[in-house]
Amino acid sequence: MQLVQEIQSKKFLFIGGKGGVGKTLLSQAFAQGYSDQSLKTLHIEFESPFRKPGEETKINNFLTSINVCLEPAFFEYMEMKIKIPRVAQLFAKNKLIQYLTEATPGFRHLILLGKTWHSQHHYDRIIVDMASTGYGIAMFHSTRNFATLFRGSPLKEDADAIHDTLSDVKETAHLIITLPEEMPLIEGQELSQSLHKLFPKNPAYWLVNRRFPEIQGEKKNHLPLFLESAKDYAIQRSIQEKLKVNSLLKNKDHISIPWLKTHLKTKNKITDELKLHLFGGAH
Amino acid sequence: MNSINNLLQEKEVIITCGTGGVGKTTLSAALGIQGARLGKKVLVITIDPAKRLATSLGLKDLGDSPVDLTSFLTENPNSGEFHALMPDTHSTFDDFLRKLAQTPEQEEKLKQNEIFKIFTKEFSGANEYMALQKLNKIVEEMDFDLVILDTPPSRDTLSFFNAPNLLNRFFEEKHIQKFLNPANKVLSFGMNKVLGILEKLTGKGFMSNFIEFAIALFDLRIAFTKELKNVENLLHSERVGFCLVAAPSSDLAPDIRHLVGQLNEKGFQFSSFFINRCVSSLNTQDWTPMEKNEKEALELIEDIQTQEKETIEEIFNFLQSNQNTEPYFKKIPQMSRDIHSMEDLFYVAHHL
Repeated sequence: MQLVQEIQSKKFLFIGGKGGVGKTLLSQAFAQGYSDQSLKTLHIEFESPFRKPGEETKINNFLTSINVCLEPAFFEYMEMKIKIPRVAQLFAKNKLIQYLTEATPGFRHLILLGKTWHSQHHYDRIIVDMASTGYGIAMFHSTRNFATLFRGSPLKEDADAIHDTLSDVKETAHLIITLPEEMPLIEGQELSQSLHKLFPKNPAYWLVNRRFPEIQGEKKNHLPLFLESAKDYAIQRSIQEKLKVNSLLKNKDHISIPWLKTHLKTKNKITDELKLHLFGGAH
Repeated sequence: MNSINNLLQEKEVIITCGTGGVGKTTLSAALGIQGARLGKKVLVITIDPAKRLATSLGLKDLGDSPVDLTSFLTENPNSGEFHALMPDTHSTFDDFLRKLAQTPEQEEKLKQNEIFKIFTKEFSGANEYMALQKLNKIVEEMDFDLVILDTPPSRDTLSFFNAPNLLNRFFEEKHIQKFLNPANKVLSFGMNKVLGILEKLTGKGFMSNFIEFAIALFDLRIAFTKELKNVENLLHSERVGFCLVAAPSSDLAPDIRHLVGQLNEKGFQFSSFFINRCVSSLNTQDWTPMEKNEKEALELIEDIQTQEKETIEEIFNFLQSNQNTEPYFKKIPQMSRDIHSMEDLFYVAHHL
């Protein structure tokens, strides 16, 4: 729980990791946990195909969730930069400009990240659910790329400021979520290395999700690939998990979340359970 | 479709799609091995940055041109062959440019451009375009009987196939012309104002870089559009079958509905569907748990089994009522460990 408290002390939390490791539910559990403590919290998803572009949902008095998408974010950003709303509108609605924002590589990422960054003035905490490893890294790189491209422009100043915030160990936490399996762990390590290159002074936190209960048994050397007995499977699963996590994470301090039974449980119920494992029972 | 062998006999290209963490690369390789067992000359193309195929074959790396792995096959496939490659999209883009550029100066100028450097680095569609281009080239020029393309995992699985089209918009003449030849036209007051703001926001450097980049790409547009059309034609033909790979999580059903909708919308042939990592076949009857953790583990497995059964039923009903052609459907059991050899892949192939 000490790691969770450390993470919670920072304004921004970026949650990354391979697809299917439980990023979305865990990011919601973090957001709920923050808002329970009366921190005004914003939960951000980028371009979710399952929600309307720019959709903003008030979940409770302290928690809002938003689906940040290019078009509305770009419009807001231009309003902020150009200041005269009528001119901003003319600019953002111009066909050529719309085309340039879509076609210029990385620009999309910068706008989405910019919207996230500017939200800090309205919220105590901002939690970002990054879509996938590649997407997240490309997004962080965009600030560097644009600093080169837009030399001497207001956009470069923003790009630099965003990069500084992301690098700052006091302001931003990067959390890598993984499963106790080889491939997600390896991808997590790759993500960790890329983050280290971008933000060398802000080491990422780790969370191992869906830990199988630890059970005693013997490790078999010539194990068939497909097992018939649930007990054999459980024993091997438990042994392999421990081996993988130990060998790939070494002694790195990490948050550990058990595999939860989810049948017939609503999403809210699961988020509540995850929250309990992250923050403990007493607030 | 009543058997995987029919599918492998019928199609020349199989494209596997799915969200991450579902064992898509393993399945792609297993499909390839099954093809080789049928006596086919098979190539598996993997665009996976995590190098999963190489790892599961016990190799460090795969090259940019096909590597013959037939000798790794533990069972003698009747004259079949198994090859694999991992395209180096960066070098492919360079090759592509060389082919398209009319002069070395043109090529060099483009390569030095700041925007172009980012363009090849980022996920702006260039990598996807190159991979599909490579697929098309291999199908047309090399004599493989069956090519399996393992697409990189993404949240929106089919975004891989949208990327090249997005890139294509870059070349749409009317936009580019508007931008490149502002002097040729009497610009409206609005347009002048817009360009003025743009310059103020981005700085002069960006504008000149962008114009240079756009001019260079504009010169390449005819060749580019033609290549893209070829790829599109291939993807829509009967020769190609799309294979969905998923794991039985509780939120799978909505994802599948979304995906099937997208496949239909694009007019792609949805030919097979694998649900990987199923635990329903594990026998829980002979297990009397002795301690707390064992009891928890048993309950957990039973919980997952129930969920899995319901999810699969839901998807099966959906597919039956929503597909004109019935795709081949198969559950693959959860493996007890990671795959590290060709022998392992053989076991998976047997389960297809």
